[in-house]
Amino acid sequence: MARKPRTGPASDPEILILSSLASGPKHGYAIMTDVEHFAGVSLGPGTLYTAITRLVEKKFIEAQESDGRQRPYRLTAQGAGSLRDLLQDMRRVATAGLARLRNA
Amino acid sequence: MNIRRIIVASLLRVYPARWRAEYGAELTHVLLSRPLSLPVAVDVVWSGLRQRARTADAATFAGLATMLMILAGFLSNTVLLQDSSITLPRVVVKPFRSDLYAFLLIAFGCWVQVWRGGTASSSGNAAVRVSFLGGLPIMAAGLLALFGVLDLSTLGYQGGARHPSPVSLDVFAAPLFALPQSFLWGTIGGALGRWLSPWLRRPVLWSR
Repeated sequence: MARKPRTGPASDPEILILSSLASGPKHGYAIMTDVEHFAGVSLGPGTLYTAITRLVEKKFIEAQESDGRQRPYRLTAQGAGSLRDLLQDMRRVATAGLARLRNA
Repeated sequence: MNIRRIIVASLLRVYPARWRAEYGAELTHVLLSRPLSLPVAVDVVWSGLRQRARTADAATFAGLATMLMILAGFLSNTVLLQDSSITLPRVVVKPFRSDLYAFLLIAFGCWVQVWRGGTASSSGNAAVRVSFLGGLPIMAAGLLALFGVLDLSTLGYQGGARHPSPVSLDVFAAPLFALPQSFLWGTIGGALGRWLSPWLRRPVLWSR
């Protein structure tokens, strides 16, 4: 069962959506279930589409043509670059923090 | 249409029409694919309000701020002063007559022009929107007085003395009659903004 949203960068809806789309294009419902699966975070439908709107405006993701009611979204090169930078920053902080905790 | 579809359609009404045209069908599909609980409904409504706030323009915000200021004026002049033992400083709300109001609309028209661009008359239109939104509580008060629900003589209540009641229809119509004047002040501000914009336009520092 999915947990409630936590606070912190690892539960940021934009990072979670970008991370989900890093494995390939998905529509909204598929993003929600994927985020629940890999991050254990349950995104509300309103939160999900607010974040999708922002990411489309920033040109980090784009909608693909579709015949159905659900359009798949895909990561753009700009979005992939931004996600890579964010995750590397998070890894640097996490590595340093965990190392310091081990010595504490 | 079943009850669930009606609830989902109602929830989506919270979002701006332009947003609904772009993402409405997808969000509807997601909402119909999962259990519709109270937290989900709250999440959708909250996100819709945020979306409205994001897409609202400066005129809407300024108009709502004016509306709040006028409501605060009503409150201080009516409810709080009903008890004559309370001696608060009197707040006089004459937004459509004061020089300050005209100055604020000129400044707003100038700001719209410098930061958003467009024509001088677009600043006038923005000022009309501010004035209309700000005038809604006054129109509502006039309407309530017209139907005998509100006693407008309390608007001038001060130190236990009642002032002559304004005519309800005048109170209701005053904000509407102020709109052409607001357009004029906003347009003057817009023209001023066009003249000042080469010196005042801010550089774009970041896009986030």
